[in-house]
Amino acid sequence: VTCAEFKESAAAYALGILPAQEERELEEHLSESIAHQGCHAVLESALRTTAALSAAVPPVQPPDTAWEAIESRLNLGQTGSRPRDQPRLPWLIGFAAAAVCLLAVIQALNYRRALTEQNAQLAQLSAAEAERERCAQELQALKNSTELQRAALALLELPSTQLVPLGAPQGVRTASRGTALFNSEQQKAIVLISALAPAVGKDYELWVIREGENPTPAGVFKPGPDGKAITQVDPRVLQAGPPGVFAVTLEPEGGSPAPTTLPFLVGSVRKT
Amino acid sequence: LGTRPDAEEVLQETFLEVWKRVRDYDERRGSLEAWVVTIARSRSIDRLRARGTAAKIAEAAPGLPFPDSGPPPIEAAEQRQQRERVQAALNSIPAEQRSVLELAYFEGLSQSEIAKRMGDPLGTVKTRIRLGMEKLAGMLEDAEGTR
Repeated sequence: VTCAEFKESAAAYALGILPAQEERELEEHLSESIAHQGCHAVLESALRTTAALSAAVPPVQPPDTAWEAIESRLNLGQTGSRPRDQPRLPWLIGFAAAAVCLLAVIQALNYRRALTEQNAQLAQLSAAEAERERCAQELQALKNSTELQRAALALLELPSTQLVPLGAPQGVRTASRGTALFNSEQQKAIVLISALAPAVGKDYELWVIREGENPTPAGVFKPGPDGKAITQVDPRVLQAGPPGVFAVTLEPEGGSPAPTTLPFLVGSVRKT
Repeated sequence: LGTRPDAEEVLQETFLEVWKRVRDYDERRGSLEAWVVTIARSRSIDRLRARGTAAKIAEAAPGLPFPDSGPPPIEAAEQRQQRERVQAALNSIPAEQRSVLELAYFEGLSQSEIAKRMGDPLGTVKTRIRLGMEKLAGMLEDAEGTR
């Protein structure tokens, strides 16, 4: 097999549709210590393209029992790790948050009893109340986030939903990236962003920009501890007319009526 | 494959094979994900052939009959964007090249089988596969670069 012949057949090799004998001959050629004429690069490109083809069909989440069945067939028992635990994660986070809150409340109550014995009831009552309030806020945030995630997934399921990639405009460097899920029929948009820096004392703000108009504020948000954010574009802004561009800026806490910084993420809505 | 039990069985077989053949994995030949996907695809094709049906995965896939709880929204959005990029790239190459790639990738037909199915000379099929893959690679790399 020559380098030219190898490159002719690399695509079929990557697709795995060659007879075994031909496959072996190509592999032997590849392992030859000669000055190859781009054989490796051509094969790598073909393998990448073949792998990308798998994305042409929608993914399907396997049930939790699938991994257990694999472990059982491998005789791993319960000692193997569980790489497909993701679907349980929101529940685990919920339970973990609830457990932490419960422990915190119990601790606060114990503390209160101790303080009562020392005639300091008032101070510890206030601490327990603050703790309860904090827990309530955390649980509420978790609930809101779960509801938004559900709404985002529902929107994603609709074929009429346009996915607007949000990226850095020219001259701006950021690790953040995002996607706006926009459905014009439902006049609904949810923005998903990852790799956001923590916004201490500030808020991120969403903007809807229409041609010839000033940016319209469309909601403020903070990222989670994982740097991810899911937020809904203010429906009133979408009801006012179709958006041209979605943009995100960093603003003083509470947001601004007009952007005070340059957007670090922008995405243009495709006209339909 | 079109049915959940078949898909789950292939999933198990894929991981068993990954476990048994992990020493065969050569990172110079592509990413680990690509290797695992290749195994899954081969096992799917084996199952399709064993079932004696020529059902096209590509035709069955859009209407998969079981619900999908799916990954979190950010990952789901990225997957859908990637799917749209691949579908757009597939739709933009000439129809005869797309057909041979679909028969090769989704049905696992050999070049000779594709030639027989389409009634074209083997050489023509080989050329279409090579050109189709080259065009797809170019378009997907361009799309990746503009993200």
